[in-house]
Amino acid sequence: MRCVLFMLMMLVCAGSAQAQHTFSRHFFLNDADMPVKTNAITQDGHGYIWIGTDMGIYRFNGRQVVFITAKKDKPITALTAYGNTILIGFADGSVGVLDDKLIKPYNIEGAKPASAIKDIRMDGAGVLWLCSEGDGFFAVINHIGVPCNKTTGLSDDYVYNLSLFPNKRVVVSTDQGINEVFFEKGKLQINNVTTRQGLADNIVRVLKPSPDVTDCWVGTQEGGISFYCSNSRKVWTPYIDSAWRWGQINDILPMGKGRAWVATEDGYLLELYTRDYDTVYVNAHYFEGRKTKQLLLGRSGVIWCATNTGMTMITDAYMQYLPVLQPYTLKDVRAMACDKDNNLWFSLEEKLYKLPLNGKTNTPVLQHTATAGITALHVDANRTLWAGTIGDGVWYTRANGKLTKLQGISMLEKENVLDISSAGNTLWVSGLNGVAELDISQPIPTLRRVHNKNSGAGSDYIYQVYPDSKGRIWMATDGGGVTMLQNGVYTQYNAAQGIKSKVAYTVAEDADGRIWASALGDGLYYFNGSKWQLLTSKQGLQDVNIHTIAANATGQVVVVHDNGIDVWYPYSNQFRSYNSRQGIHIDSTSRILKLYARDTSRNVYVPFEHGFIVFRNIYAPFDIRPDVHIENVSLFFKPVSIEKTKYAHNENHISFAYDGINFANPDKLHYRYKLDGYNDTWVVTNDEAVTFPQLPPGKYTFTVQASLNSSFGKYNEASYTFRIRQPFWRTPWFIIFFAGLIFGVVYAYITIREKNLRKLATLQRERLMFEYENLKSQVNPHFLFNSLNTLASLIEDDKDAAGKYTGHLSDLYRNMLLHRNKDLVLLNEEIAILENYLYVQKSRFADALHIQIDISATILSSKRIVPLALQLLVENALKHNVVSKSKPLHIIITATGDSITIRNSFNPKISKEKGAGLGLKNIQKRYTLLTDKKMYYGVSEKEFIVNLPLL
Amino acid sequence: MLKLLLITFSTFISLQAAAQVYEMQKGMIRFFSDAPHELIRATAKDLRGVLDIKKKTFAFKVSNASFQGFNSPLQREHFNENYMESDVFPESSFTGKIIEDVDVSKDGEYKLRAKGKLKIHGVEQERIIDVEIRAKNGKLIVHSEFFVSLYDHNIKIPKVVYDKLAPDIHVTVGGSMVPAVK
Repeated sequence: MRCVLFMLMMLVCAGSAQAQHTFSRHFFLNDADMPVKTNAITQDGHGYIWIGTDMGIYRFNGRQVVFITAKKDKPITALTAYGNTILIGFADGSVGVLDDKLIKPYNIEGAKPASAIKDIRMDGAGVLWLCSEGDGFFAVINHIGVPCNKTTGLSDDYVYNLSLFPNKRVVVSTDQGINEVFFEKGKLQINNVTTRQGLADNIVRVLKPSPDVTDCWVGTQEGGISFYCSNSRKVWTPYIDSAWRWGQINDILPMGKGRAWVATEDGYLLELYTRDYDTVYVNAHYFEGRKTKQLLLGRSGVIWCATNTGMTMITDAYMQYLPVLQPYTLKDVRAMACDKDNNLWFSLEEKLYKLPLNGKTNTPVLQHTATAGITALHVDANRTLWAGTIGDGVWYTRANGKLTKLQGISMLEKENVLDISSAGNTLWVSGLNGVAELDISQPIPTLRRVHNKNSGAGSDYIYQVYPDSKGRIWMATDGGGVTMLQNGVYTQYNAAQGIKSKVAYTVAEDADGRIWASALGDGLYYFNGSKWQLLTSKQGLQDVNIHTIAANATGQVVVVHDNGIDVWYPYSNQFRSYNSRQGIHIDSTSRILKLYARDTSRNVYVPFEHGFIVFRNIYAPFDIRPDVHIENVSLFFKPVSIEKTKYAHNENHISFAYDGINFANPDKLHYRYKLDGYNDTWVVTNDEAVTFPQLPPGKYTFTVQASLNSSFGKYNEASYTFRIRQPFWRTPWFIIFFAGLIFGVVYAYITIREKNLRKLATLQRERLMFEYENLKSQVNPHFLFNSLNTLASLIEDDKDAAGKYTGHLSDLYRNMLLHRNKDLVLLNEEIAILENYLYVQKSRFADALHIQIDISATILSSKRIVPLALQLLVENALKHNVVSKSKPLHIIITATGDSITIRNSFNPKISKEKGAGLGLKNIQKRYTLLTDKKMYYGVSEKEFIVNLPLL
Repeated sequence: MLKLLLITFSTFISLQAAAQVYEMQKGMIRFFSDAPHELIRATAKDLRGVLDIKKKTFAFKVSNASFQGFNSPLQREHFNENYMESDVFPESSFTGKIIEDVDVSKDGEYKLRAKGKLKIHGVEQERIIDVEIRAKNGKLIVHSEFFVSLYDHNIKIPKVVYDKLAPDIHVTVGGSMVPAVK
């Protein structure tokens, strides 16, 4: 599929007045060089050539033909491009639209064709027009088809081709003449034009409007060409010498200025010319075995032909050639000139030939054989032909038309002539002794002056003298660079003005009055009025050793060098290059300086192996600049839609494939790309794909530009803007949220900590208070007094018990010291304190005090309590209640899972002890600091009950 | 399939005025292949056809197996089996319309173009074929010559017989047509 095979078609000229030949090249659509029947061809907005065939649709970018897609068993019979949208007509009457390399059906409601689509077109208003093989034609408006066929008044249902004229007129070509369909007074009118009105044949296969006049070109099946005037609706058949003999017309490509290309079924490509649209001249090119179905004028000026085997490219009139057959080897042409009757004069060594440019033959006629090689030819304004020789001076045609040697000017007698040029009555002969300036106003020319090193011309060797349109005389000298003579003053251009080399070979003036020059080893210079600018390989010049510079009338400058030919296109601001690698048989070029001729229209003629290449004036603005198109975007090497422009943070491996499009010099195509947002340097490359792995989040624009030389520009770039999102944790809202959260947490932490510290401080204070209270109560003289009394009585009665009592008393104090710093103690530790205390108190109160502790062992060992709370409560009970034999004090301590209850019989003393309630309050405070659980206390009928939470 | 088409076609048009439809009375189709190494000829008499001169439509067909002639019986076998595949595509046909607007029922000689679908080897090709018609006493003598490209009809020629078979086959069709009987 990818291989493009090309070959030169040596065209057989079918004996006609216009003997120029087109260059051509054939392309197979597949690797196997198998013929593929091509039916339609079009060019889209990017510049791609699309080829519709029996086997599907193909795309061409100037280098490769790529198969895009196909609908099985549905040959493509018509194609059109609407901007970059490709619309496809099929053999079964259906219509498709190409969407990302896939054909999607184009739905049509209402009337639609059931036979092959012959022509398809989208107008500016978005109406789709379809011509069908058997159902007339259709206007599809918003996907709703409206038919026009025999029923509505069309002369035939077989419609080949459709043209849209101003004022909503539609002209179709059918098997029964031309039909012009229009609305008049709100009614549909159909005007049928047939052979009765002067049409060459009723089978009208194609009708194409001219770009510049109202006369349309009409191609018929067997009658050849007719014209149809879109204003008068008149039809006529022009005169063609010896009648139409090239077969059925398949397509016409009107070029303007009375010129058109015509493709026929018999294998001809015809170049038709007419001045008055009454007589048509035919320049026929025959393609063996190749029938062209459709013609397309590409933007670069090349004509593309859809043929029965593939695709053929031909050069339009801008570049053709005049074949000159063997035995003339035009590589050896020494000098050229063209006279005012458009006869091309050229010399092969000492032989002088004449070739009429508008003649019927391509055979040069020998005019004269000189005694020495002819190295310069020139025709002056008085139609005198001048010839310069090697060592035999100057010859010129006298009134009798014979070439005679110029006598009487001694310096020219034996001169080796390099160049001859003239302006008005002044003739310059440059040779190895400088330039002889002759006055040719009289029949006998006279020497006016000599330009050489002595006179100030810079050198004695002057290769060329070029009088320009502003009256300046330019000289290309060997040793003095470019010298300009104006009003008798020489100006020499050297390094200061931009010309580096001292050896200038040739000078020419282009259509815009710009002076061009070539210098040894430097390349090509042009003069901008004050400075010389150098064009080199950077600007696309193929070679710096330039032999010939020639300008035509429309601004193109032909530059001939060792490597081929470059033509400067001022509109595109670049060179179009021709060389041996392009396969159009421009394989070598002449090394002789200033070897070209210009005809009266200033078309440029340059010799090559097979004849003369003609670089014609180009009136249409050809665009030979390359274009580039981003083919696809891939994420981790998987293609994604080009519509996708937003990527997640981890979708960061992005590749681009792009494709350059150029038909003038695709071999010179290269690219540069940049990813804005990543780095801002351009990368120049020949690759057509680039991958950016691990792109950080951000906004990017990928831009790629194509160029044929080293200057890139905005006019041919493609770009793709996309964004890789921040991961959510780096998005601003998240950062704000997160900062808030952190702040909140820190704030809460600080607050809580402060609260806790305060609480802790309070607790500490409370505990100290409690401790103090406790200690105060324990070192209460009353307690001590009682305890010591008890001890004293015990010492007397029972020594052992006294010892035990002392032990318990000291235990009590030790435990109190031990636990006073703690916030909580295990219940059994508290019980131990209590028991010590009780032992001490029991010794005093004996039977008057009844204590009952009823707590399960698991609770004892697992639950915690504020230290000394029980001891304090029991102490309180003893303190506030009557404890006597008659009124004993009962204390019952019970515990559930989360609280402990202390009950004592309520029998308060009449005289209240000091500090009542202080202990309880203290306990309560300590609890509130430690826990949310509340402590309860109160008096029931006969009991005082305290409930403490267990922790 | 085509027969059916032909029958419906003829029954349909026979409903119209009688002199409007002409039927092939005696037809013949002949082809020859003029290759460098061999000249092959064959003829079929089984040519049938109808022509509606008012609607200017026509249909002709021939059975491929009915071709006689050839240089040898083996050649005929090859023709039917290898090239025409007469089992799969038993008939060749040409249906379409007449371009020129002339009344051929009047005596005289006419040169017309018949445009339609030429179906050979199952492949339809749009063709415009020149036809000469001589009308005399209500009888039409039809004659036409044209070429058929083997490539266009997807008839593949083995390389061995490249020099023995022309890529374009010259076909001659002739016959007399009379108004159809109801």
